Amino acid sequence: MQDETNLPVSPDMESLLDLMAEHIRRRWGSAQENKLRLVGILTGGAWVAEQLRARLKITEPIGLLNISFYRDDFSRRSLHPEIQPSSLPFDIENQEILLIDDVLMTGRTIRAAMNELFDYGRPSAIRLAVLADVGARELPMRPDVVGWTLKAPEGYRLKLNSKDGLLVWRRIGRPQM
Amino acid sequence: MSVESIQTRVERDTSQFYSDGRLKHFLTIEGISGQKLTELLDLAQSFLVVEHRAIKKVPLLRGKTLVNLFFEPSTRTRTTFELAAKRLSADVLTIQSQDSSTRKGESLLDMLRNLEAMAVDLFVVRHAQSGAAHFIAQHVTPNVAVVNAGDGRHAHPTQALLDMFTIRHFKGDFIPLRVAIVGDIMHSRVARSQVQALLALGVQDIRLIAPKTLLPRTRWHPNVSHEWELQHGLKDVDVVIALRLQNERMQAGLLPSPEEYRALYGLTNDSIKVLKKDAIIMHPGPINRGVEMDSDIADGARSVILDQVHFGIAVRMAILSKLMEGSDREAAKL
Amino acid sequence: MKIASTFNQSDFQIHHVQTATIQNIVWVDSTANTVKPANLLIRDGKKIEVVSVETAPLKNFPVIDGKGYIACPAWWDLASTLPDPNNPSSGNVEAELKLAEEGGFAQVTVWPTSSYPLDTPAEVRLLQQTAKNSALMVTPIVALTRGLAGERPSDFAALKKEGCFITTQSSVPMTDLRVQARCLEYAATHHLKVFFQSIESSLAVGGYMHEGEVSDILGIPGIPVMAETIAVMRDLELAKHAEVQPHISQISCERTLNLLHSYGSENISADVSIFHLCFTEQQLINFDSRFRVTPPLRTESDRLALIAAVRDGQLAISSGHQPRATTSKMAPFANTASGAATFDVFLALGCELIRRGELSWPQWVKATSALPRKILNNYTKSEETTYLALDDFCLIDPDAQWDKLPEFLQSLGGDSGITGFRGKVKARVRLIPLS
Repeated sequence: MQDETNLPVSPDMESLLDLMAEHIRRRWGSAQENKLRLVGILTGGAWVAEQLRARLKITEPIGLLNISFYRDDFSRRSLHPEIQPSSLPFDIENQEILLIDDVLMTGRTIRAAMNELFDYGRPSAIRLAVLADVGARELPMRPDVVGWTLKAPEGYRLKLNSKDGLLVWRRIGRPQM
Repeated sequence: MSVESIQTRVERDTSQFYSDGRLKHFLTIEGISGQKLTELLDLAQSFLVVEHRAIKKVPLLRGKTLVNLFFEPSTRTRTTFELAAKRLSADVLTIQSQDSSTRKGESLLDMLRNLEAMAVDLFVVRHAQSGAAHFIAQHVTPNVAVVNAGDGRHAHPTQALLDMFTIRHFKGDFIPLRVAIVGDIMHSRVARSQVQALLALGVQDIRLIAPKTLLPRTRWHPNVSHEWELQHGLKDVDVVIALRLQNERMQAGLLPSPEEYRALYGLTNDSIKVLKKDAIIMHPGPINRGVEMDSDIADGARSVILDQVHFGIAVRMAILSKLMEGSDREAAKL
Repeated sequence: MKIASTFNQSDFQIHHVQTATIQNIVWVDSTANTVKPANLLIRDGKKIEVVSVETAPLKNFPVIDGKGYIACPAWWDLASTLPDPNNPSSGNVEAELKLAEEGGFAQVTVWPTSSYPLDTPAEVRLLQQTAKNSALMVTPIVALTRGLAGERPSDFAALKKEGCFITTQSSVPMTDLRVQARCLEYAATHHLKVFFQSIESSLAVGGYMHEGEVSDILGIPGIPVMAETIAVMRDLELAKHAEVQPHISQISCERTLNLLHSYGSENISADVSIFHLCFTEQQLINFDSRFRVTPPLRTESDRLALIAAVRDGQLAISSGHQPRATTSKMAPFANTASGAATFDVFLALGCELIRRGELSWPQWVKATSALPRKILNNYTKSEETTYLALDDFCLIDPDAQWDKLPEFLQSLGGDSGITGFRGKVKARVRLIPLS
């Protein structure tokens, strides 16, 4: 068992987000230049997307994706009682989408999100930005923008607490709060 | 059940729930808490957005097979279930049987066994006999879920739930509402389920309005009153639900004529004047225009009848997906 | 003749006794209204002397140890239906009678059905033939109308020659009241007694359970109480007109009791089935078709009134035994057959009533044995069989717990809907008179 005091300590959240915003600006240009549509995966990714939107000074609202209806483990788990619905306040047809999530691990969430995006239309491209990439991939998925790259200790997963904007470690298999 | 339990009150059947309280079947509103109903309504709300997308489908029930088992004709309920299942990506098969041989118990069971052998996951059942859905739920293999799409005069829980969804959509909070149900309550599975749902969601004032021949024999709950007089019953009501009047009721001597019924209990421009200004008018359909409701009313500003139909799909999607969540986990336990 | 001298605790036994002692039983005396420990001294298969437990057993004769058992007369049933002997798929008459014997019955009264109406000497003889191997007394009740069709009377003169002395139309409707009056007059001509199961069919048709709270919740069409009360009034008036002695069988509600009371009970007898004493409409709240019976189970206040009438000694308890194939109960409620098999559970249900203090043992014995015997004896002329007092009795373990009977013993009705029984007849004792 991992010594809990030795778990990797997350860098400062503000600097992580600044770093990601800088990456995005460098690659796709400023908000005026690029045509990126920001789509955050509920709930953690949506928070990150909102932070990036502010930093990138994008005026139009971000899209929100609730991937509950697209999960591949639905028949083994329960539906969350209060599901905030997906909302895409723009047409995604032929748009370049920047899909944003908090933590990238197996890649299954991203697959579900992409499936859902395609039910809204056919984007010209989908890019992926994540706050943290902890490895342990189960699908061939590579992010375009990463805030913090690390390897998750066995038996732990990283979770964004979007209320206070902190990345925290959770034991896998621990009952959800 | 044991001899020891010879008693005045027999425990209600709770077989529509798993031991942890999750829904296993959806047979009746009875026994489902207001909180659980609210969860279902919330889930239905989140399915509403799906129909505004380019592809009106989510892969939630992909690979699941649903059989619509209709022993009684119905277009609306059957098609909305079919559409709901298809929007959840389930495979759907519809069997309509008015064949008298299937009314006999043995052949009904045979039919179930045959369908189960085809690895069906969900049965949606409509049957002319009260208790038919319970009977089927008792006899299906444990990993099959049963949805009651109307059994005799007993229950029509999905209709009641979509009615609750409609009421919540237009009225918000249930607790302060006055709700009137007008018409053939005695023979109505819809009314039974609606009253149970309204009570579970906290409505304090439910009025059943009909002549004595069409009212229940007993009072179901202290918050449910019986009224013989329409104007009195409709006064200051927020929600009016009119029920369909079947022609058989005249033949059975319960009423003299549709004309007299309209004059006494029909929703007309005159009779609805006593309602609250912002009252909504509902009907589970199909409507007998000019009997329980005039066309002016059915198509009027207060009518939310088409919204009911619209919401019916999302509500049924919520029920079907709720029954299938964790289904593999349950199957693994067997 | 083999007479067992020891008592096997687990198996059901039948003792045929001429002279013997049964020790340490608890004797129920319905006449004296007492329950007390006693020994029974039986002499010559005729005389039974109830003596204190200190009394020495009869020397050189068998001694049966009845320790822990209650002894009382076997039951005399007033209302049961058996399978059609012509139609083996409807069940096995002999198996039903075996169940009745093990359930503690000395006599069963077989009602006519539409498929086996008991309206010809041949049908009566076939029943008697089938029942020949049973130790039970089988009393056929013949159809009031041919084929129970409600149109014209059966051949009563010929049926009387077969020893039949009771007739009934069961719950099958008559063509009209005029025809019913005539058939009853014809029955009176032949001194037949008439059993009524009073149900006004126009009020009961299309109903499947008591019209009340539960039928309202379940949305199952109900059978109102007046379907019975109106029919009871009708039948009592017709019986009075035709000068037949009526027995109102299998009543279900308090208002019927009030009616019987107002008519004066001297010449009117009545019975209630064990199910109606034990259960109410609440039993059906989960669409449990095993409790679908005719007349329907009614309310708790009806049940309590029926219990009170039994306690007062006005009302006999019948089995209401009506075996049904399990498959006929396997359908949505309204599509199932009405009826329940009760021979096997009769005593256990009675024991439950006694445990709960609703009945006492003497009241039970009066209602299941003394009163039915009186009703049947009233009905026989002196030249006909007189039902003897106490030649057949039961040794009962009131606390014996048991579940389902072995498959081969089960009635066709099989599962009566109740498990976890307490109370069982452990042995039957029959006196064989010394000839």
